[in-house]
Amino acid sequence: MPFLLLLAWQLLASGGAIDERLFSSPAHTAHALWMLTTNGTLASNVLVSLRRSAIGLLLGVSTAVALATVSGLWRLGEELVDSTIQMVRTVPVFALTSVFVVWFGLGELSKELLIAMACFFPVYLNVHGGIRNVDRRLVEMAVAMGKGRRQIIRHVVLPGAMPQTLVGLRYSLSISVLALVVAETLNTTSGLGYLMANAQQYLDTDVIFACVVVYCLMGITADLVVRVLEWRTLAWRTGVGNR
Amino acid sequence: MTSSTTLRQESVRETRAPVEVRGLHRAYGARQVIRGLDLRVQAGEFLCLLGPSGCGKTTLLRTLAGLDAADAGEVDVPTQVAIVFQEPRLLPWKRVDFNVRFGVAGTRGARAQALAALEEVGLADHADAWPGTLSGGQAQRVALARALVREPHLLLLDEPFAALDALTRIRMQALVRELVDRHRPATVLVTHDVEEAILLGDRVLVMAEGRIVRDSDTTGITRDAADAVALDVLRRDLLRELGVGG
Ligand SMILES: Nc1ncnc2c1ncn2[C@@H]1O[C@H](COP(=O)(O)OP(=O)(O)OP(=O)(O)O)[C@@H](O)[C@H]1O
Ligand SMILES: [Mg+2]
Repeated sequence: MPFLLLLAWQLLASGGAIDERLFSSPAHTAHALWMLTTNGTLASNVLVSLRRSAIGLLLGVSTAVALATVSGLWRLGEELVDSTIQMVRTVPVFALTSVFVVWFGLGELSKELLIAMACFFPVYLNVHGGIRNVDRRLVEMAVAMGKGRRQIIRHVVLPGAMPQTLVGLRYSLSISVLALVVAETLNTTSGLGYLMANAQQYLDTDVIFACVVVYCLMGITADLVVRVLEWRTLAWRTGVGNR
Repeated sequence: MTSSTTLRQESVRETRAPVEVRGLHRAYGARQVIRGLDLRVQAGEFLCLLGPSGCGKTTLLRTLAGLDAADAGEVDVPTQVAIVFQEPRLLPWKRVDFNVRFGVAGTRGARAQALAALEEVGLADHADAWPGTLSGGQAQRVALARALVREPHLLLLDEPFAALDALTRIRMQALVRELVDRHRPATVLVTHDVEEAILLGDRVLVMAEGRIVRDSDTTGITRDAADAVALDVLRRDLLRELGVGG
């Protein structure tokens, strides 16, 4: 089906039914991709973009996991952290874009922080929920076995929160691509967003579409990474990977 | 057979502290669940606890297991206690072997112990399986193995067969009896099945309104296959006590 759509698009474009200046065509997009790849501009700019999202993602996910663990496990943590985050959560992250520029300048920092902030919430909410929803009967069993707090957290609570954590991670990975797109509309001199903004000035739809394709590929890769992670860590659910 | 068992019981009785509960009170909020309950279990004794639903059997077991504190009264239990719940309560993200090892203090280096316990419940070849792949009866046997590796002096069983089909249930009863005979912990089994209570244990207790209202020795009936009349009388008595029939 997707191939049929591509074919139809190509036929319409080359038949002149749609304006190639506005919509490009699969062939032209592919050509632009090829050109950008061979002259090295794509690789260098994609690397810059990947770096941004990787740093932002790492920052956002690690703080989310840390804070969610604190607020999920300790009552005091819940009161201090969770209530605050529940309040901040209602602010749409991308509305803060300009504030971030004012606070952190036009450099990399504001972009990375924007991505981090966008990735933070799905992970935080899911890890917190995962910890809270751990089967209390299992915890009770561990208590009856005379297990200490650390053992219970390590063997019961955290593994129990794992499936939900991965759900959060999956969300935030796809959001990181979205946040990257938004962040790169800020004044940039490198990266995929820069390529796109540049192409926009010259009305070069071929390059714009090529960039969209690359963003898509990044999203797909991100999803794939989580799937592999799920497959590896949640083997107990499907029963695969018996020793 | 009988005399050798009794002899062992005697020698064990001296070394292990029996269960001693005096004047136990437990309440959930304003609701008094256990009101001045007294209970003695000798070392190596197998005790079956009957009682209508909601009379506080689980509450008593939780108190004996140290999961809940007593509101009033004295509870003396051995340090080594193991409990098996109605559901297996295995950690689904750990393999069977780890789940059994989870019963002992240090989980490291306890694999041999765990395998031995699994062997006893007939599941040695499932040591590396995920709990999710086990049947209900198998999972409950793993829970039993996990209780056994603790080498408990007091074994608490809260309707461990309730969720099993009739055939598996019979096998499990035989297995529990066999394991208890071998390891000789003091055992308290909560059940709704009068037959099971009479045949499996040495003593049947009936609980009602937060107290023990009946205490019958069943060793004679259990050991004497011929005493069908006594069995029948006791069964009818117990059923009446529980509010069923005549
Ligand atoms: N966590 C709790 N909070 C409030 N009330 C409780 C709680 N647990 C038990 N109860 C109440 O205490 C009473 C005794 O409960 P318990 O579970 O000990 O009964 P039981 O004899 O084990 O019943 P069953 O045979 O149905 O398992 C019940 O009336 C129940 O409603
Ligand atoms: Mg109960």
